[in-house]
Parts: sequence; structure tokens; C-alpha cells
Amino acid sequence: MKGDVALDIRGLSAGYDGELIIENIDLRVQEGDFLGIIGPNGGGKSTLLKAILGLIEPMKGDIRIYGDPPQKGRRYLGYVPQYTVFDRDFPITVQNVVMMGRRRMKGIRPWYSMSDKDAVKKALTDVGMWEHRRKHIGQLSGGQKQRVYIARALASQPKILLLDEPTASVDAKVEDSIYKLLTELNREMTIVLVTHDIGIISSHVSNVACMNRHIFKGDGKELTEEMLQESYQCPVDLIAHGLPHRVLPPHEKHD
Amino acid sequence: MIDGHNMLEFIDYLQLPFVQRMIIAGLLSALACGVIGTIVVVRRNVFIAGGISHTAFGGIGMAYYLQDMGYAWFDPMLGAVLVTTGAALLLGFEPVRKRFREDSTIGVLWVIGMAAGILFHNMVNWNNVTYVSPESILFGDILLINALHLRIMAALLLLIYSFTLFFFKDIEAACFDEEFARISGVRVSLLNTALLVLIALTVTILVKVAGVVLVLAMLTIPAAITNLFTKRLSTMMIGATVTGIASTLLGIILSIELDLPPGAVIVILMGVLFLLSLSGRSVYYRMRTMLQGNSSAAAKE
Repeated sequence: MKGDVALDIRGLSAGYDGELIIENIDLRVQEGDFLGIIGPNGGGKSTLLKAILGLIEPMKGDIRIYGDPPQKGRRYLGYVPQYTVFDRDFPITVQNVVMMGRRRMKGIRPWYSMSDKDAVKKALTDVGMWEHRRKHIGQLSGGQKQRVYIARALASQPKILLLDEPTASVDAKVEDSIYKLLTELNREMTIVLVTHDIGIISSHVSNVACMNRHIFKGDGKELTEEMLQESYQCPVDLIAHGLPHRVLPPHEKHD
Repeated sequence: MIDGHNMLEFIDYLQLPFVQRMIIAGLLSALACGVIGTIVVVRRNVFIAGGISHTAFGGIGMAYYLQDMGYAWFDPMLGAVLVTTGAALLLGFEPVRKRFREDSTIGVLWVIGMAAGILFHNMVNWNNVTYVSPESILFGDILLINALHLRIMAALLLLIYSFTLFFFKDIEAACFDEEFARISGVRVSLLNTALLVLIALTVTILVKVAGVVLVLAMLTIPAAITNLFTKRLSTMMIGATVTGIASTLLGIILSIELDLPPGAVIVILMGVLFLLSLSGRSVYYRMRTMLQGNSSAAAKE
């Protein structure tokens, strides 16, 4: 239902081995939002995702996914990791990769049911990869792989889609088609994506946040120079020029 | 090479109980290494498997020492299964994983296993126990396999197959993408430890046939060969098993015919097969590209 709070993070601090990577994060995502979180590498984006997914324990603060803590609330999440980390030679077909998305529904039973298979078919059809289902995952192009991992997340019928650098190492054309797909999916679910590439925050997202240890969130999808300067800590002009999609408001003229 | 006369001789061999035991042992080994070898290869656990198998040397030495001490029932296979399983549990133990680098732990277990084995071997009074050379422990003593060994091997194999079949989908998920498997409800740490124990059991099955050192070859080569041609984990397991059975049986026959150590012959055969399939695959891909090129050219006309 629109208007519900899908993701509610308050005062979150997290990190590894006692070292803080992110500090005092407050973030509230409404159902139906399409939030892009940008920030430099090492700025804590992955740590934030891991905390939301319940893979690391917060040191301070609280995370709620539709009111539930991560361990329980992650049943609402569909996670799309960076596809570049996988072993190309691993013997697995597209269909079996997407089937992993049904693990939670399958439980301890050794085999997948007909309804699992139907959900996989629908997810693969939605991303336009059904005809490639019997291919080895290593045979696919970067953009196709990304679609398969999105399908795997969709197979669990999530309410929130979480994506980690969805357009890393794909070309501009593929990037565009992935954003078109995400915009379509956004009609039915909330989307949160993180990226270090501020060029991707195109007309597709409805909200932008900047992140570098702390998080800075404006009202809409416009980035203020303040937000960028805080998170990137370099002159904004360096970032603003030469972007394929302009995210900054035009400079005020001082004539 | 195998003419009519020799062939007849070979059929005579098959009547001999020790040859029959060799063949059964070879089959059981190939069945184990097809399934677990595939898991070892796709998880890049070859070094772990090497570490676990070398601790078996310590376990076998310990067994002979205990036999010398009067515990005649303490079979070397029992020593191997206890020590390798212990090493597997230690490698999977969460505090150890957190505190130490995995490859350091493996290295330590590896050398301690070897050192303990050779110390035990020296401490045994071989007048009380039938002499076994260190080489036969290291490189296999398939000739000395008895009916009890075969029963232990079959029992361990049954355990390995039941576990793998029941948890196949979870194993596939956790091996491919551990993080995603974890957030989807697979108990990954527990599963990883279980897989390490399965490696230990496989090492125990293989150790009589191939020896502590050559176990690694039987675990990795058939799986690595099949990996070149398959796109499914299940077919990789089946292919590795078939490859393992073929090279093990051929190796045993050749070793009898040529009077050479079976473990080494099997491993060399597997190595040759690996090289052949590498070149076979590149020929296959070149031909496929050529055929596809022709058909797309034909389609254009």
C-alpha cells in the first residue's frame, strides 16, 4: 500500500572488527520509492546493504523492514549483488541460478515444487531472459547476467528490490535498458540501489541520497552541491561536468 | 598389447579374490571422488583437500602404533577417518575461521599430519605388526585391501551420497553464491563444515587406493576434466564419476599387466586424459565456431 514505510533505519552505526564504517544513519524509504544512494568507494554503501540484509549486526541503532528486524524482514527483500564477483566457470544454468531465489519458499525439502518453477518462469519472462534459461551463466553478456540476477531476486516475489552497483561494467546502452527494466519493476515494488557512479542517477530514480560514512538525503531526486560536497569531499564541478544525465540543478547565473 | 593369450590370463586374474577387491575398491573410490571431487573443484577447495588428506598420514601412523600397543582391532582406516574428520571440524570451527587465515591453518595441519605419521612409523615395533612401508601409505596399497576395508568404504560412500542427494540444491546455492544462500535461509556455516567432513570421509575411502599424496589427483582431475564440458553441477558429478571409473579400472588393469603400482598408474592416466580433453575442447570450440560461421553465412544467402 502506498504511504507505508518500507524501510526504516534509525541511528544506525555499523562496521567490522570494532571499526565504524557507517555512522548514525537515518533513512526512511516509503513504499513505491525508487531511491538511488550514491557515494564514493569505501563510503559504506556495501556495509549499509549488509546491515539491511542482516548479514552484519548493527553496533548501534535499529533497522526495520516493514516493521520487522532484518533477520525476519528480509523475506520482503530481493537482493541483486554485483554480478562481477561470480566464478565464470561454475557449472550452473540460468534457470538454476534463478531457482536459488525460491530457497526460502522451498525450505529444507530437497526439491523445488511446481509453484517454484512457475515463479522462476515468470521472473525470467519479466526480465526477458526466459529463452536463455538453458544456457550456462558464463555464456551470457554482462547485461544479460545482470538481468538474470534481477530475475533471481524477483523469484522470491519481494516487496523491496535492493541492488548493489547494478550497472557496474556494462556499456551505456545496456545501462539504459536496465534502468528501463527497473522503472517498470518500480510500478510494483520499492527499489533501493547503491552505486559509486553518480552518472547513473538519471531521470529514473525518484529520490537520491548521498553517502560517505554519513548519509545526506534531500527531498527529491535533485542533488544539492552541499550533499555532494559533504559526501565526495571534492569540488562539485569536477563531478558535475560531462555527465550523461544531469542530476544537479543548473548553476545560478551571477550576471 | 593385450593379445588372446594375455586376455585369457587377465580373465584368470579376475578369479583372484585380491584382484576382485582391488576392482571393487577402485569403483567405490571413483564413485566418491566424482561427487566430492566436483564440490572440491567448484569451491576451489583443492588445497583444503590436500591438507585433510595429509593429516591421514598421521592417523594411519597412529593406528599402527596403537596396534603395536595391543589394540589389534584399531585398523588404519579407523585412524584415517578419525584424524581427517577432526581436521575437517577444526577447519570449519567458527572461532578458528575468524582468528586464523585459512591457508595457514591448512598448512599447519598438513605438516603436523606428516610429521606425526613418520614419528609414529618410527616408534612402532614392526616385529609385532605386519610391516607397512611409508611409501605404501603415501602412494597407496590397494593390494592389501581386505573385506573389512571394503565394507567401511561402502558405508562411508552411502553416507556421502545420502547427504549430497538430500542437500544438493543447498550445496549448489552455497557453492555458487554463499551470501545469497545465507540470506535465503541456507545455514551456510553448518553446511560448509559438513562438506569438509564429507571431504574427510572421501579421503578415507581413497587413501588405500591412491595413498595420502595421490588422493588429491583422484579428487581433482576427473572433476576438472568434466568441468570443461558441462553447464550443470549434477552432470559434472555424473561425468566426473564416469571419468573416474574408466580411468581407475583401466589403471588397475594396466598395473596388473605391466606390474606397476596401481595408484600411480591411475593418476598418470587421469593426467593424460586431462591434457587430451583440454586440447579436445579447443578443437571442439573451433569446429563449432566454424560450423556456426558456415550456417550463418548460409542463412544470409
